[in-house]
Amino acid sequence: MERMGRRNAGILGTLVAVVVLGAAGCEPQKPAPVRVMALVQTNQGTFSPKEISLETVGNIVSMEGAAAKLIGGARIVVNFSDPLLGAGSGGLTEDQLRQVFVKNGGLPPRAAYIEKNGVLWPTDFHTWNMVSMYNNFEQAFKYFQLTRVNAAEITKPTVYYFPYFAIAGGDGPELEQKDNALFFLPLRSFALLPFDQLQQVPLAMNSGVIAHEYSHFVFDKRVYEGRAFPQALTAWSGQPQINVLKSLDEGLADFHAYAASCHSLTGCNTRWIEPSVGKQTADDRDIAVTRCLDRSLANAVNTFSNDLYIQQGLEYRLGTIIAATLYQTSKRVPDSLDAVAQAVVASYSDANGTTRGMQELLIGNLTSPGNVTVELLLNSVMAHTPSQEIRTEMCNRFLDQLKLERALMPDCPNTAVGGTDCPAL
Amino acid sequence: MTMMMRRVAKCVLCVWAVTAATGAFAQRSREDEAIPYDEDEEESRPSRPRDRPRRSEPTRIAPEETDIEREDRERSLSELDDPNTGLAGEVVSGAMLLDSSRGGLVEAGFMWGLRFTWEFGRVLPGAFFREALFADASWTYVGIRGGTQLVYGDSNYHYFTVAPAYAIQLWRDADFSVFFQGGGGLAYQFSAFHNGTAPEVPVAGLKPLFQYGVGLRGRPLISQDGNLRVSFRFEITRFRRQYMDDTFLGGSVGLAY
Repeated sequence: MERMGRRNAGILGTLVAVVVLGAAGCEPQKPAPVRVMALVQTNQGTFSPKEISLETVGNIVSMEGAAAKLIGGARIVVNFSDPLLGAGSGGLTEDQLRQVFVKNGGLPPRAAYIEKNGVLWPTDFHTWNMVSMYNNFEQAFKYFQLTRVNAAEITKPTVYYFPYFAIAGGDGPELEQKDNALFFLPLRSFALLPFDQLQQVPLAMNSGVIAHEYSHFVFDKRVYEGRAFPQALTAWSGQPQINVLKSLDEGLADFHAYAASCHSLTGCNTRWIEPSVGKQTADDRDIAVTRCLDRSLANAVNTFSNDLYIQQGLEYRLGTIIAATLYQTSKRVPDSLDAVAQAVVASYSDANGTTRGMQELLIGNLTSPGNVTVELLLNSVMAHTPSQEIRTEMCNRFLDQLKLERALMPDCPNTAVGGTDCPAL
Repeated sequence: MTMMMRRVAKCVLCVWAVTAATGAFAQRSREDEAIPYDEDEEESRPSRPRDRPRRSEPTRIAPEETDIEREDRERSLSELDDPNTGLAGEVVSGAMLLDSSRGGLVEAGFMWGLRFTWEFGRVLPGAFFREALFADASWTYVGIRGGTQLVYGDSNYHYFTVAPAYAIQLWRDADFSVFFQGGGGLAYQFSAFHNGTAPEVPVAGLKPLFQYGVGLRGRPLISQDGNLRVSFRFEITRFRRQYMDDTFLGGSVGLAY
């Protein structure tokens, strides 16, 4: 019996050794730049697999680098009736906020590859999707550095990849959200949700979509001081200024998505959303079309509740007009696109300059929201546009397409005369 | 006188002959009867302590075995009880929980394959190894698809492994055992990525593969002559595919002879 026990122990020891040996598989350790295959847009409407070089990625398996840090399998439930939020969300730390919304923290991805001639080839769909997405985040990261955002300011944002993302109202059931890519302000993180109805090019693979969301991230960093619950949005809840801020945020994001596409291999694209969402949405959001404010939209901005305004998607309608004015400016002043983009980003925050940025304007008017208008905020953009020529054209577009009041925009040059592309309200 | 003597002699012989025949007959009848035990009261009566010997006689010592006798005694007869060759073939199927590249828990797929088993313990000396050791050579396959209708990837995983195992019978001479297994091999991966506009992009490669697991194995008799058995398993097996950990939950069934 004793001899049998010893023999058993020996055999089991061998098995354990095999198990330990089996656990010793290692991940590919590749310092940046990492050559990898990804799905990229090769022309206006076509996506193809292409070898790219990721310059900011630190770990190609967990998809973590300066441009993004991916987390998979998280469970996020948004319930603004949560008692913890009611106790005073402004005082909650980042970890506490994460506890409120993130019910399951998820895990880093484990992207799978086969290496061929020094190039990593994804071996499953999600690895293709994540690599392509990281590449898009890296392109957006680089683009915003071109607009003079400090890299350290926007480094390594968290991206929840394919989380369970649900909205719960009070004690009601959780409604899972799908078919969306978003920058979730309370967590200051991105979320790329699973697809359901959208069965074309995945949102994560669409560089325009990622640049658009990245723009919200930069807007929050600069305009809202990186707050989970910006003071202005909290203080002005229910007021028209929220409609204005939402529209401005969406419009500038669309403009940046377009401007970022001009730095890609495929060139400028105002219909970047079409491969993923379809023609109708692309038609509605195409900023190359000369778009004009109409009376109903002008009324809605000032009279609709925030919920109704957002339910009808009016923030996109007004936002697209704002983006279209900037697009037209860049088109009417040759080679001015980068300058316009830089002016927009510079206007987000300007604590040191002589001209106040949007952040300062919002903080300065927390108790007087009536002063915060589209004119006030877009005047800040003009105030941060060094070129007289660009500023003039920008003012012309604001006056013509958005029907803004010139008197409320002191930085509108005297040379600006408006335009005749749009009818009077 | 002489005649007279002769007649008397003849008469005596006849009487003798008749009496002898009668006596022989009577004697044969007595021999056929049951012979009663001797009713020796002295013998049947319990012995008295003073009549018994003070010490028992020494126990009889068995005579020393010859080498041939000893070899015959030590020779295992288990192969006579279970004359199988120890080879088995099984169809494997079950749920394969692939490591999730997207950071989820797992990606589930249906795995199936073939497994050939050799109970190599049968060629080792001693009855212990006979039932304890076996090894598998397996091929299993699982395929998964992910993506949208336009952009999707088909990933195919072929696992080739050789894995020895150690089994513990559930009870003496049981046809059922718990086994522990460890082994290794190669994983052949073939992936085709479809983007809706260009031809599919194939990529294939090999990965080192290690496996370890535990399960229940049975091989009960299904034939009278004892040469054919049904062989089955329920198991949980983990695969370490380079740095990915896959888990197989399933079983197999086949024949052993």
